[in-house]
Amino acid sequence: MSIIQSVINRLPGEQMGYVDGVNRYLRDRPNLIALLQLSLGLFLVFVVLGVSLLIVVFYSFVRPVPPESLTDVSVTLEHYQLGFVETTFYLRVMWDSFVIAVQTTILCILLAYPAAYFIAFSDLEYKNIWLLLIIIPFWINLVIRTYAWMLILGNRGLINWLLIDLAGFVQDPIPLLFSQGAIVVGLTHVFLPFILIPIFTSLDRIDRSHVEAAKNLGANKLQAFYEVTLPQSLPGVAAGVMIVFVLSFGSFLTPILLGGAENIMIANLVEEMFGQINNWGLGSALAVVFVIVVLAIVYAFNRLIGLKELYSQEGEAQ
Amino acid sequence: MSDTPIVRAEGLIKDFGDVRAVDDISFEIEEGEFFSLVGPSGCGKTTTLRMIAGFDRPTAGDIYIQDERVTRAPPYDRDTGMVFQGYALFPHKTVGKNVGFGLKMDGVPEDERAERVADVLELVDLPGYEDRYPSELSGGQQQRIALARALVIEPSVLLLDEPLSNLDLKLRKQMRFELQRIQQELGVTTIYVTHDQEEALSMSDRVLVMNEGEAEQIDDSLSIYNEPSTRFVADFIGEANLLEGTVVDRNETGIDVELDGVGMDARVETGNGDRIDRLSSGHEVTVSVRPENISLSRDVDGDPTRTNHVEGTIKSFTFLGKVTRFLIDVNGEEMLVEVPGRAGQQRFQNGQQVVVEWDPRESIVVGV
Repeated sequence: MSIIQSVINRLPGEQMGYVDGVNRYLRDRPNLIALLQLSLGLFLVFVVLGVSLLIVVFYSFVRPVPPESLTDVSVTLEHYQLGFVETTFYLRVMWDSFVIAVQTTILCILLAYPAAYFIAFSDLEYKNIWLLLIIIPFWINLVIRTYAWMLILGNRGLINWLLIDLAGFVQDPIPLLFSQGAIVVGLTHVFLPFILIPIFTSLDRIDRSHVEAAKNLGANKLQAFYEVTLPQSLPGVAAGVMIVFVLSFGSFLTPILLGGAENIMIANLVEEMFGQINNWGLGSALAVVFVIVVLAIVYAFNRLIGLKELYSQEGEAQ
Repeated sequence: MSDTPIVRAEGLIKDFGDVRAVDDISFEIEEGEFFSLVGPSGCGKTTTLRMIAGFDRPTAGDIYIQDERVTRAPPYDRDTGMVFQGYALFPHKTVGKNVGFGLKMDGVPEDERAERVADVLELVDLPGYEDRYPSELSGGQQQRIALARALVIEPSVLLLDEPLSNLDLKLRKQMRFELQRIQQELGVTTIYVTHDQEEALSMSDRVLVMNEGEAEQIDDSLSIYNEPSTRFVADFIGEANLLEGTVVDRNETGIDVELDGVGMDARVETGNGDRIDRLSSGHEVTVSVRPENISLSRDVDGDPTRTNHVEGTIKSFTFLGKVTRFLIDVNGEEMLVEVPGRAGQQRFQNGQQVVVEWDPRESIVVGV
């Protein structure tokens, strides 16, 4: 700000007047300034992402795909028919993806909530360092971290080595890798911070005197948690759930590495249609349906939990 | 009044690491009493209250509530109702659920709960507010709700931690009366923590003045103000001119003190005779005189028989409405004088020579 100001101050008189004019113009229009500040983000979201999405929607309804010219296309539902009427395969993959996402989300909550609670409520002097310790591993490349799980879960991996060679519990390796369970474990690892941080933030923001007030009024530790702490941390949980669910529902890399050929998720199918099988029409139809399903789930979730209400109430209470 | 005190603290000590926050505090509080803990911030008054509520565990000493030793009992096993400085209303619960919370924890059935909540909301002058959220209330209203929530469980003792400090001045004075009215109406034993000495004096039956973790004086409001037992109390409660000196003579009615700083001999006579009784020639003492007990006059050559008078120069004065405050230079020492009403408003000007004078009975020895 001061640098800009000093540059402005050095401008010759004529241009000075122009700058003043712009300043005055903007000062009277605070909404315009906000819009200007938002414009880059809005451009990225609406133009770059929005237009590409529109192209995908367009592809899903026309033939041939990709069209050779805009005049020489015919509208068709054949891609949807191929994907969702003639076979249930794609729907089954989508259902599997949904189940994996739900399992990942639940596992994330179970792991993240106690950790976040511990960091937020203990008398730790350096809470941020504890958070950092949890986040630092996530600076390592995703592929490498996922490969680490292959080393742990594989037939000659860490777990089977412990079970067979060390403990002698079993004779033959237990097939852990290349399963839905492996995907869930991998995804949980990837997305844990995305839920831990919002939960920590909402827990950390709770006024400690609220908990004390509850205890003063006769609530034991469990009652105080259930009546006061938990409800006030739900916005953080809900935000984390939303992020983890949506991201893991559409995950791509983890199922490739940990799921093997038999356990694929919906994003892998879409990629296959575009990249290998070269059926852009079907790929587009799958993508469109997937986006609609995700949006519908997010909408339903928000309606159910009343996320907006929770957030606004917390905001006003400050 | 029953014989056993409602709250009894015995030799309370609390250390936080190397810091001794509370150092050997003892007191007894009778049923229905309004008892204040007052002192500057960091004096240990809030820690003392938190130990009574059960949020902090004493390093040493014991706490009894209605003759039951609760030193190590958790907060939820103690019969106290607390109003927090920031009110600590549950933001996600309605007023009705906030106020009814303690009853719910006690297992009071829902319809009785609703009835008692309605009654207590009536008492704090906010009837029918059950369905609002705390965020929809003003600061003063939140304060009343916090009070209602603590009162509805009918605690043995009501604990108030600076409950008025977040309100603006006018509301604060209004709430003071409100609090007193409710306290007297219910006759609930109350411990009140504040740094505001005026609040403490105006509301309390008895006051405990604390400084750096230690008890300076426990007494009723009048005695605290008129007969402060230490330098600190004289200075912290109200304002005081603290004059250092040496005792030069004593007789039946009082002592004569040579005040080196202001360069005068002063006579001290107080009703609190026992403090003077112990003094004899040669003792170094501090004499406290309240600014409002000092008078100013222009006739420098007045009656020579009067005691405790000394000449000075007006350094500055400030008109404050009810009183005018003068800063007087007396032989290099500054003395604060308050002259009420019109007497202080017109007759004086800066640099003027005046005589500073006070009644021997209006001064007191505070430091020996």
